[in-house]
Amino acid sequence: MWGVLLKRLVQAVATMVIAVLVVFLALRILPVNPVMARFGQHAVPEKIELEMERMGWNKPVWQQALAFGNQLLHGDLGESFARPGERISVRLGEALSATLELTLAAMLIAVPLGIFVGTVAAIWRNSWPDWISMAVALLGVSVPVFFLAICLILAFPSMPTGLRKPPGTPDFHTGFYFFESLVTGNFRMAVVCGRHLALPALALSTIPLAVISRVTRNAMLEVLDADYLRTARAKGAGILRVIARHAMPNASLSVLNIVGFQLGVLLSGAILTEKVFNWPGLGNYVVDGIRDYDYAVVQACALVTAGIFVVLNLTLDILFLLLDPRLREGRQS
Amino acid sequence: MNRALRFSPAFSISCVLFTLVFLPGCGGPAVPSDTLIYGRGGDANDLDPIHTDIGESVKVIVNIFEPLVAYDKETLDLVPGVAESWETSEDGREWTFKLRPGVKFHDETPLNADAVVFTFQRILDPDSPYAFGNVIPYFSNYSQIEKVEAVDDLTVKFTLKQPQATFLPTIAMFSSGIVSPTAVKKYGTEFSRNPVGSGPFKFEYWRPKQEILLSRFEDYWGDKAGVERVVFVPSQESSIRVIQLKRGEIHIADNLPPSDMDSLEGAEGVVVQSTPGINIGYLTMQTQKPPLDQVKVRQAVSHAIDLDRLIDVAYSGHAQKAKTMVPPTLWGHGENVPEHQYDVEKAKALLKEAAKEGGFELPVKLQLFVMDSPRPYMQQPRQTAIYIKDALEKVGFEIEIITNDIGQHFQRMTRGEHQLGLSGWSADIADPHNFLHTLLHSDNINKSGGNNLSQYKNEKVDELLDKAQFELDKGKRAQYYEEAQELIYEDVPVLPLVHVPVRIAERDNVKGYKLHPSSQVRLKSARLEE
Amino acid sequence: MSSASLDNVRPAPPISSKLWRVPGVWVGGGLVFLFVFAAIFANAVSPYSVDARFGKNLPPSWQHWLGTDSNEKDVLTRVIHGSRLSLVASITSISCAVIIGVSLGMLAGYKGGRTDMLIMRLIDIWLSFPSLLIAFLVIAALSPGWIAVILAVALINVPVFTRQIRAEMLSLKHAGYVESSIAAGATPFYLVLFVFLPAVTGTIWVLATLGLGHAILEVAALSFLGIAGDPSHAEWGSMLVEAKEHLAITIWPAIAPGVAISLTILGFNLFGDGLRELLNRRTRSF
Repeated sequence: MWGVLLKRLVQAVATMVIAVLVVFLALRILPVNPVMARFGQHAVPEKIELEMERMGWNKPVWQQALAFGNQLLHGDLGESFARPGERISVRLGEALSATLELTLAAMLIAVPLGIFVGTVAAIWRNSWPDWISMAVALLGVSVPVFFLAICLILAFPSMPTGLRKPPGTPDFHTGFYFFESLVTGNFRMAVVCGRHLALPALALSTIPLAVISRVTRNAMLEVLDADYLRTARAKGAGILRVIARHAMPNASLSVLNIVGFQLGVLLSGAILTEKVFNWPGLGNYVVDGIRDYDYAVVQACALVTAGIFVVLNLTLDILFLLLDPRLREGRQS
Repeated sequence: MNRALRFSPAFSISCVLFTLVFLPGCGGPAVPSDTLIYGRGGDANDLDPIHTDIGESVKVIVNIFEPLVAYDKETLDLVPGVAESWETSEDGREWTFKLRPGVKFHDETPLNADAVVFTFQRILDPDSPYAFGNVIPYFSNYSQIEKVEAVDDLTVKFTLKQPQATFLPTIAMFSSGIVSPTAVKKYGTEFSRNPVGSGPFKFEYWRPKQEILLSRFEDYWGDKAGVERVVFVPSQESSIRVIQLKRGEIHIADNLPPSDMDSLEGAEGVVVQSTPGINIGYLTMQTQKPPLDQVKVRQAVSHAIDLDRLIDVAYSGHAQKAKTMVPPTLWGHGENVPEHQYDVEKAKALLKEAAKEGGFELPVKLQLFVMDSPRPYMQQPRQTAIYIKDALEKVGFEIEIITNDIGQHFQRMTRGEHQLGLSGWSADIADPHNFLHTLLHSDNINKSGGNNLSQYKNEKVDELLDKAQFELDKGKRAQYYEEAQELIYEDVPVLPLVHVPVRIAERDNVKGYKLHPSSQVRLKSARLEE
Repeated sequence: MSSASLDNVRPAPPISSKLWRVPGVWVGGGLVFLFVFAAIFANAVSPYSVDARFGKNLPPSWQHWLGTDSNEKDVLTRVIHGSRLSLVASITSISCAVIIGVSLGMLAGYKGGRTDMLIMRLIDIWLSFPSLLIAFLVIAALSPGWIAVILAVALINVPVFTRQIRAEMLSLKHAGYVESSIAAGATPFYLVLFVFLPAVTGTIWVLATLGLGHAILEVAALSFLGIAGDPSHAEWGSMLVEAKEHLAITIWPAIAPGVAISLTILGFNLFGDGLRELLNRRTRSF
């Protein structure tokens, strides 16, 4: 088992390195001079070359790549070029926590509701609760999140949009505004921040909600069809009891799998939701980075998103190895 | 049965939270009083005056820093600022400024001649350790300064390479804002995140993409700021700024699309302000590439576009039709230049003629370059482009619109990759030189950053613009600029479209804030009434 | 997902007898047909010419059922015409994705070993980025336009096909009839064309149908983020982003393309799901 894990770990690191390298090269072939982009409409031709030289962007790409690798080995993500003086590690931390708070909130909506809906659909299979919930699930994956976001803004005219907290209110210590105010017992602030969080989280939760409810339903059905449960039912065990005691634990593995997968998708893929709601998270950060041709920022974001993907996959692998005895042996393929 | 009905504590907590969160109007925000909230379309990138040209940064910078010379409260006249008085030598090459005694920076450092010299050395000295990088967007504005020296503690002398009419306006620019030498030395590159100046507001903190907080500087030399704190809030979506303003979450909203401004004009508790902007939105035509190298084709483009309709569609009527590149609010505007003519038949005829002479076929295919985000002079670039496309296709062109992000847009156009392109200019200094020389002098054709996007080259125009730059007599300069504009009109290297007013919407409890014609956002005079 | 059990000897019931049991195919197919119809006959169906101007942001009326947009154009007409670009872009990009993805998947599954490892690593790297980031970079490098958008969306969708086809190839290789073909000395060319490809066609159809839904979403999302082709072309994503700025004045130009996108995707999803259900129990594709 440890051999398998070690192999996965090596693969994971290799994936990350190559992923970042790909982005590094892709940025260098863009037909845009980042210094000129920063100058905007006030470019000073003689200064552009000087700055390119200062940043080392005149050098051959492989030398730049080596320099970047060296910098990473020293644990330094560098400084933003388009926004001078901004340490990328600091800003990335803020962006990441904003996205994490949003994602967690979305998952808090999606997971319980998804499991509930999926279970209901499974119990009343092929009757109206099933049809309704599955229709809703299908709708959930079909409505584009940016359109849904617009509809939500229109539907809740009194909800705040576009910021994480009311402007001018005291600053927070961490990047988790809602959870921090909950923990510190500032419930008034928690409600205020919760209101800012509500619409983006709701918009973001629809896809995982839909996927989770479908997976739950299918997993439940598989278990409910199993012979031993038929026997249990035949012996007169109540449906709720069967669900809680037998079906739920057995379906939990596939649900866990999909929750983990969706978490990864959300963390790196909340770009559209963040864009509409102006949420200062990772998605907005990387989009701005690309728009400003801010090499270091995009590279750092690539590293982080690839890292999230790899770590989540690895964690899921380990969890499965631990939880599922069938997999503990011979999961080589 | 009983069990099923009993709510679990976790469930009831989430129920309560859910209701609280979605209940309208509940949990009013705990915003401290006397805080002015300014909503705008984006975040600053750098708060060091010399290293940025981005409007959103400038809005903050002008409240923290002050130049030697200031604009009058309501006009574009230059009045004493940190400098009490100044005088010029006979030959116009030496300028001596007397500083106001007792002025302090926010960090208690005295503002003296050394601080002024330090400030300008950062721009002028290519090896200055206190200029952080080479990105100094307004560098060429200062290129005529030979040296800056401290005569005594409160006297500074500037020596110019040759007399220059635009020197004083340059000294009044935001990028000439005096910085605290102690702070620059202390923070180094981080000065861009910890600006220290001598203005009416003191920098407190900056949460990127969320808010920038300034507070009143109590030791300010002049009238103190009317509010205790100012928060600059970026919300990218203009529709969201409208909602925020209507609900009173922000006090001032700027850069709103014109149609939203119209809907706000009647809204309760909202007041709309407007001032003519010193800017030009124009259509550039690449004069070095066929078929636009033929003046007849360019004239055809010009006659095909109905500027009045364009203003209706893309500016909801709130823009001024342009006839030359210099806005009429500025002196030197070409009064004698003929009005723009909209004439579809003439356009068709011109194009047909040109096609026969040049031996190309109709429809003439052209690419129109458009930026993807609004600018002050081009509030709705997509609508503008689509209107122009529809208009041109009626007279025998076939247009493909190419949308680029702002960085790529201007870079590709400086390299001359476009045929038609939307562009524009907002004045850095209130002088016609800033429009005509920058946008149409052949010295400014440069693949790495020239602003003569049309690659227009007319020796007579160049000569007139050069003469005007180094002439000190305003009357003569106006004469040169007038002549140049008439020549430019003949050649049609650009089609001037609009001059766009600066408009903001504010809550009616904001008093005393008046838009300045320079469109600088100076919040010192703003007050909040309960 | 739809890993068909190949050793299933039970004869499959004819597809027609099951069709009525899967309503998704009907509803989804109907929706898709509706939009395909609209796309083909856009000029005949829509009330006005696509570039006619009427007046800015007019509310819905008898003349303009969905009002007009900020470019003074009829929203209903634009939505109908918009189905063209959306469908063409998504079908083209998914076709590209199928060609690339299926080839890679077959290669990986057939060759195995080092090739397989290499291809699957590649796919992993591919998946480790948010798909929009890939699209952004591709489009910026190619200079914006519809071609770039189509290519970017195609690239985003490759991994799905590769992974699934490879998985099926792995189980196919051990199927009795394949093994006997190999033993009989079939050339790789023959194997791919006449043995493997027919076996995975069903899967490809299901994935492609679902992929079309994704592609429409992704094309719209890219235009929504402001990276798209000519904005004067009727396209749902760019209509939506345009209308979003004027929500305070009129909501119809936003609602109409939004609903159109949602319905098309819903159609493809329903149809794809139904298809999967239909094909799942059959050993061979149709």
